[in-house]
Amino acid sequence: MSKELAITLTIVIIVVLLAIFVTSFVLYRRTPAPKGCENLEPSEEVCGSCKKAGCPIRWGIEKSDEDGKEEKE
Amino acid sequence: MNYFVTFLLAIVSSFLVDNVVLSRFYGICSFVGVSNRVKSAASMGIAVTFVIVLAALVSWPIYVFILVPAELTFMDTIVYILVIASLVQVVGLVVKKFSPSLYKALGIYLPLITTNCAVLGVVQENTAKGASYAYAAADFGTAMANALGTSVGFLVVIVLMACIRTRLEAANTPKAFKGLPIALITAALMALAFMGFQGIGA
Repeated sequence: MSKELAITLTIVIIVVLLAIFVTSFVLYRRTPAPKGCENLEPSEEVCGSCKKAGCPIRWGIEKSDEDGKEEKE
Repeated sequence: MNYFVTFLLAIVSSFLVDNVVLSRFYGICSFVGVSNRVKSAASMGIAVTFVIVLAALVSWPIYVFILVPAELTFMDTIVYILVIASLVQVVGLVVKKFSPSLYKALGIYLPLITTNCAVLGVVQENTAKGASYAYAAADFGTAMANALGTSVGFLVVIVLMACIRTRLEAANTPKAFKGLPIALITAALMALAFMGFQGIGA
C-alpha cells in the first residue's frame, strides 16, 4: 500500500470513529433521563472512599461540600 | 468437544491464573475505590463485565478485518479508545431508555468505566498475540474467552475485596491503618493468595 493511501485511510478511519463517538454522545445527552432519575447525584456510599483525584464526579462532591461549608459560615 | 474444553480452560485461566487485578494489576483504581460496599462493588463489577465483553466483541473484528488488511495496526490504540468511548455512550443510552432501575444504580458511573484500563488492556491483549485473518475463527473464540474470563475475574475479586473490607470495618484496626492502608495490604495478601494458581495447566 502506498504511503499516501495509508495516511488517507488512517485519517478516514479516525474521522469516522470520531463521528460515531460524537453522534453517540449527542444522542446520550439528548435522551431524557427516566422518571425519578432526573437529578441523580453520586452517593457518599460509593464515592466516599475513592481517592481518584482526576474524577469529575469527585470534583462535584468536593465542590458541593465546599458550598455547604460556605453556607454554614 | 475439544474446542469447548479449550474455551472453558481459557476462561478459567483468565479468571484465576492471570487475574486482571491481582496478577496483571489492571483496574486497581476502581478495585480499591469502589470495594467499600458489597452492593456497589457488585454493581461496578457487572458494569465493567458488560463493557469488557462488548468492547472485545466489537474491537477484535475491527482489528482483524480492517486494520490488519490495510496494514494500519499501529492505529490500534486510538481505534480501541474511540470504540470503547462510543460503546459506553451507547450502553448508557440503552440503559437510560430501557432500564430506569439500572440507570439509577449505575448511570452516573458508566462514563468512568471508559477510563478503566482493564477494558483497554483486555482489548489490546486480544490482538497483541498476532490475531490473524487466516485463523480468525479460532482466535475470536480465544479473544472472547479472554474477555469473559477477565471480566468475571474482575467481578469476583472486587466482590471478595468488598466482603473483606466490610469485615475489616468491624475489626480493631490500628488508627494509622484504617481505610486505604489496610485495603492495600489486603489487596497484596489477595495477590499472594492468587499466586497459588500459577502453574495450573502447565
